[in-house]
Amino acid sequence: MNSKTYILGIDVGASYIKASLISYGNQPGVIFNRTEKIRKRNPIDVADETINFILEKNNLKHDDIAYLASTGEGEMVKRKTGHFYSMTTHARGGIFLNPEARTVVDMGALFVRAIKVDSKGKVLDYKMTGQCASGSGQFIENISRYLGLAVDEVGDISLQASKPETPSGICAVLAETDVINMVSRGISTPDIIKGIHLSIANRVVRLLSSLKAESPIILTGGMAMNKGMVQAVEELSKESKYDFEFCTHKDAIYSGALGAAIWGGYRNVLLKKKAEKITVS
Amino acid sequence: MNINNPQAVFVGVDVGASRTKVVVLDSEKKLIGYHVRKSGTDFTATANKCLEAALVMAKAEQSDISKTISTGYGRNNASFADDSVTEIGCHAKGCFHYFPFEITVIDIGGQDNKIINLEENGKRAGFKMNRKCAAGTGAFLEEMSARLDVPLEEMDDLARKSENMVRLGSYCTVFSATEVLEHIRHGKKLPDIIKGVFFSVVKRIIEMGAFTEKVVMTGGVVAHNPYLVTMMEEMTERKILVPEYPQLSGAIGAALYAIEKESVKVN
Repeated sequence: MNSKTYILGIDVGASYIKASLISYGNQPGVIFNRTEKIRKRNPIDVADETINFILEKNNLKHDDIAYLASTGEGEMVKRKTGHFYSMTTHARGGIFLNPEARTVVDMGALFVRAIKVDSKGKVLDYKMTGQCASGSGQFIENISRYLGLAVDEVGDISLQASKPETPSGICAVLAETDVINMVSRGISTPDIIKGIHLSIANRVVRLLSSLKAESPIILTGGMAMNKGMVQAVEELSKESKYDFEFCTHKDAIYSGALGAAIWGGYRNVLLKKKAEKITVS
Repeated sequence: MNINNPQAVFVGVDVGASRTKVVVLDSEKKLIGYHVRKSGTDFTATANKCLEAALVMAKAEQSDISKTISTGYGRNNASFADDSVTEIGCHAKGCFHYFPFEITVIDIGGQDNKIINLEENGKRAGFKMNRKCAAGTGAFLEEMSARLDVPLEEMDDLARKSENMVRLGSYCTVFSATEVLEHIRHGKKLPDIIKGVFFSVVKRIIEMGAFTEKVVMTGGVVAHNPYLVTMMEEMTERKILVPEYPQLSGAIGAALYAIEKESVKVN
């Protein structure tokens, strides 16, 4: 019999599935993380495979998991114990990664959301980009496909820019035409990529200023794994004379999954207490 | 060359973000030559090629050109132009020439939409332009045609075959592209999706502002997708006017400006 309480959090995004296995207690600890790109597959199947993979790697059976918590688009995940709303899981996950943080920013494939939190990870206020892809990770994916680059490498390439060239508008679709023009004008790839990063960062900084975000701000989500993106946000914020203070974390992409796992662990304790009460009475 | 030369021609160049249009008018303001070509990456070279082809069609020589005015997104790239005028001015002029009364001009371009209100004397009462977002523009249709793997020129016919239109919930072109693929995956019919795409374009335009009683639609998107006009008529419950060459409105306006400027100089 294993004495640890295993909790699995699974965050189904638009582009990636993120899963975190943690041991729950007074100090939750990360045991194993895993990301899987959905591509054109059915997210339900990908989620299921990801769960199996994690169980197998850690020599666990499904019954060893005390609580399987889903978040994001994860409501349809098979075998889940409960589902948690993304805003609360990202808030909790952000605070777990950096307890000092007072604003958690989730920079995902479809949109960016900025969440103000208290020290316990309670959501105080939030704002998100909704109807427009100008601040989304999809934008970077499209442009990198255009330039024949892998999404993982564009961040580092953007760091080599010397004279970034920003697109004339903010629209992710119209920017593609701008990029074609830049290529034909002989603008270097790092300068083009950096320009796109700055264009997205501009949306992020504007979102933070309209939320009146409080520092420190932790950047999470898939785009926070991109060093170029983090640098672009920092640069623009400084230029715009905001005194925002940013940080990130190597597990930033897992903030939703970790948050779900922590909430799941908490819920699990409550459920146990309830069950004990019933047996006692 | 001056206006008294019976051979004198006037050239209008509209270098759009997507297509370059060149027209040649004679001194009677009659359209005698035109050419349209993808703008590509070298706007100057494209404009030159268009000019050559339009002159051939007009049976005119370079030396017959009395004056050339350029307009459009890349108007400064047409190196042979004597002067340039804004797109709003040229589209207004190009439409008012054919419909000389109080009108609203709706131009659906490759990358932007314009709505221009004109008074009965042709004076501009106001205009709106969308340049920040691809929603409702030709770029939106291009993106959808690429995602659906349907050639642009087949979209119009397919949309007409729709029996049960699919409504798109997304505003953004990028998100609409994802949504459209999902509809395909769920077995929705292509014509129904394409009509939904057209509906989205019409809706974006109606959202832009109020129209006068008489509406003129122009632009390359309208020229190649006349079903959009029919849908707009149904939604706004009014007859919509379309010039003979909707895609050339801006270039014709520019050429009309060329005639005007030249006659001012002569007088």
